[in-house]
Amino acid sequence: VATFNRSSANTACLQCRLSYFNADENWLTRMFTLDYALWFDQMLPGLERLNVPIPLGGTSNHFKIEVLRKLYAWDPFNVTEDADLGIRLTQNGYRVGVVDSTTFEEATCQSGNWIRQRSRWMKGYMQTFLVHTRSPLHLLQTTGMLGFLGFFFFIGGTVAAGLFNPVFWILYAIWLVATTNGFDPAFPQPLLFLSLFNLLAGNGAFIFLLMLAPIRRGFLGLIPYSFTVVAYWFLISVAAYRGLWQLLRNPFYWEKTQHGVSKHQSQASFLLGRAPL
Amino acid sequence: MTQKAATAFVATSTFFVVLSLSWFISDAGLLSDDAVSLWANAIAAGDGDMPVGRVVAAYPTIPFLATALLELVSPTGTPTPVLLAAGLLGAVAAIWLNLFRRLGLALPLTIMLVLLIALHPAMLRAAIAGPAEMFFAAFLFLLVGALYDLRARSAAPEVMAVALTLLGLAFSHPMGAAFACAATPLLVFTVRPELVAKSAFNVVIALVFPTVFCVFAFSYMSWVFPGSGWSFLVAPAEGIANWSASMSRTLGSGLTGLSPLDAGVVTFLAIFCAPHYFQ
Repeated sequence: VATFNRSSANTACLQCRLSYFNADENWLTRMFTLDYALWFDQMLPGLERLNVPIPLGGTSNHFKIEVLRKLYAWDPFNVTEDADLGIRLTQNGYRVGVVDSTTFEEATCQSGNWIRQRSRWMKGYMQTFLVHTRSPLHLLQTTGMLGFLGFFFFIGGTVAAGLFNPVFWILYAIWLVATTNGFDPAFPQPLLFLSLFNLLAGNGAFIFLLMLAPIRRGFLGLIPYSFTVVAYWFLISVAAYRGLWQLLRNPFYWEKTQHGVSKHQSQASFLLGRAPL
Repeated sequence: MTQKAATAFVATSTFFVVLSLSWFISDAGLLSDDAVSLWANAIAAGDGDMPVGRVVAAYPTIPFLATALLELVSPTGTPTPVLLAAGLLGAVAAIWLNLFRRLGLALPLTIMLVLLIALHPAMLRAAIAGPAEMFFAAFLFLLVGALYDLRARSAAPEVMAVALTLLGLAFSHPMGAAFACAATPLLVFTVRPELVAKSAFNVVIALVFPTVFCVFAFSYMSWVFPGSGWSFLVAPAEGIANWSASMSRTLGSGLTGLSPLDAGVVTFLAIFCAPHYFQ
């Protein structure tokens, strides 16, 4: 309430930062924590400042109820209904703010469970992208140029990166191992330089940003894990293809994530002497 | 005079002093070898006469790329390295002016101070020597500020600033590369103690990652494109040797005749004397 009072009148939702209490459980939870630290601690404050539509996280959102009613709340057919709502808030002239308060969740610590959760998120991003690009001009008019680009980059780009990443890595591996020049006709020199720049600058920049992400919370032990992000991207790609398959075959199916499997306890449950919620 | 006008005044006056001095010196037949070879390479790269392998392996990278880009957009015959060095010193002078003003110094005093520093013979010598030395000086100045901020507040933006200025330093001049390497073990002293207590090594990884990654990236590119082999890795070492030799010619053989030994003696004296000085 205090943050709402300090925010501009058009602030309709406040998103808390999210992090994980079981970051140190295994490699997957460490990478998931890095992923969240990059998104909630580094990117969201920037997006908020640029007034780019913020795809809301599913936890710890605080809404003005009248705005929520006016926008007919969440889309029940979208499996990332929170992300979709964030876009619609911006389209209707509302602002999503970020509160400097952290909710610690349980990071999915099993790969199968993680892929199921992430494939739902990927499918939801695909749905959100398809829904809002039915009328690109309307999207541009309602979100502005920065918002429009931000939407394409963060919603469309997330899905596209997941889908295309393995294709490019496979092409690169074939070129490197077989030392073939069979790809040369497909890569004229300007495109080759651009691809090389993307390979080096893109990967280097992402790894560096991941290294910076945990500093805010003092999770310095996670920094070296940034070097293993390529393996994490591989899992994201698996989830993206799974999400695409489900979008075609079973678009509204809600893939359940199993919670309460972590061996670690949240601080709250530890204090209450209970198992994690 | 407003601060904006003062900024424009110090930047343009510094720029034109460097241009005039460069013209005067080159008219007298004195030309910096580094600036001439940089210009020749930039012209060759701009005209497409240089193999891609040599372009991506060219070192010092930042001055070379900046000169080549300026060469592409300038009319033929423009002395691009001189323009670039003069512009850089002008820009640094403008930054100094705004910095001194933020510290609360009066405008006339600030202008005088900035002109005294920017037009100091050592700065002018660096500017006339070419863009590489000016980039080196600029990044060294930025690094000092970034290190100071890192000690005050070791958050992600401060870590990023130090990491990127180290990268700029290493890729602007062979001595910058030497400075960056030498500074690495000492970086831990610039981070806040609470972070050092958690994991000093991991913070240093984040600080040096961009530099190490770019060394790897440029080495990889010079391997991919034929014509340069692994020359990117050799270039900084050769550059340091050439630079030391030319400095010896200019300044004499130093204390011992060996630059690394001189550096060691100076470092020891600084460490020994500093506590007494600040007492």
